[in-house]
Amino acid sequence: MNGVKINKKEPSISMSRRTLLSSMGALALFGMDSFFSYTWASIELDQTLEELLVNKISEDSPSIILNLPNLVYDGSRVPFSIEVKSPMTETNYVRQVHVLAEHNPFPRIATFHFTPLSGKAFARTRIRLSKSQHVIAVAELNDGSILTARKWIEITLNGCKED
Amino acid sequence: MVKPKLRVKAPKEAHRGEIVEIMTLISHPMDTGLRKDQDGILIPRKIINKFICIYNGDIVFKTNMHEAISSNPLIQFNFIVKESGTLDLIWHEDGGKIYSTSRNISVH
Repeated sequence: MNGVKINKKEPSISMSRRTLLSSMGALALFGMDSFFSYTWASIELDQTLEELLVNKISEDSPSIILNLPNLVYDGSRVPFSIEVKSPMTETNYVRQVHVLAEHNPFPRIATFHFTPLSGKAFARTRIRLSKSQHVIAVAELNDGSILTARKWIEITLNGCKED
Repeated sequence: MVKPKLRVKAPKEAHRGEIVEIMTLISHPMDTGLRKDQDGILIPRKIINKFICIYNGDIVFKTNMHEAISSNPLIQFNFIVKESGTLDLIWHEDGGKIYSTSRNISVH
């Protein structure tokens, strides 16, 4: 009986060792992938930014406040709120705020349209993020000037494919 | 499909010129078009793509939503109440369906 038990056990040990090794390989590959994608933003994002007539997103405007947690386990519902500090009068107000994700399959998250009746350029919602990335906000004022800001967020689970 | 539930948290009374906070929630799966069902077939995209808030006929706040908004989308925003009136909240779904609800706010 004992001999049979050992024979049964042995393949399972070697299998687990094999799966461990292969998973380690996969981990290394994924690590490389995230490293490279961090250095170069996606083509879709560049296209979207071109559509929005934004040339560079390196400058962070202090008047945009992006409220996002630094680290989130589940990417399928990330609490998110944005506020643009600006007077909301007929002559001086925030017209639109675009919210973009760097590495989501579809980079556009939402566009908030404000009016002088809004009183406060503030909006809160919950968003999906596929992996650790920058969330970018592009605010368009009524005189045509554009403000940008971005924030890095760490995601553990992909929120785009599984629900 | 089950009819979505609309939930709105809005004050019934407000002072003149006060900035009030409106919170809305619609129960909706927000299928992105990337997810597969049990047989491995892609579930087609069906999301709430637009949300509009109208107060006494004037657009107060509008949102265009894309795939990256979570299921059961929650939207919170502010607006200035200048006079009593009705607040109309309208959600547009892919395929042209419209869900709407309204609330009354009285100014004292």
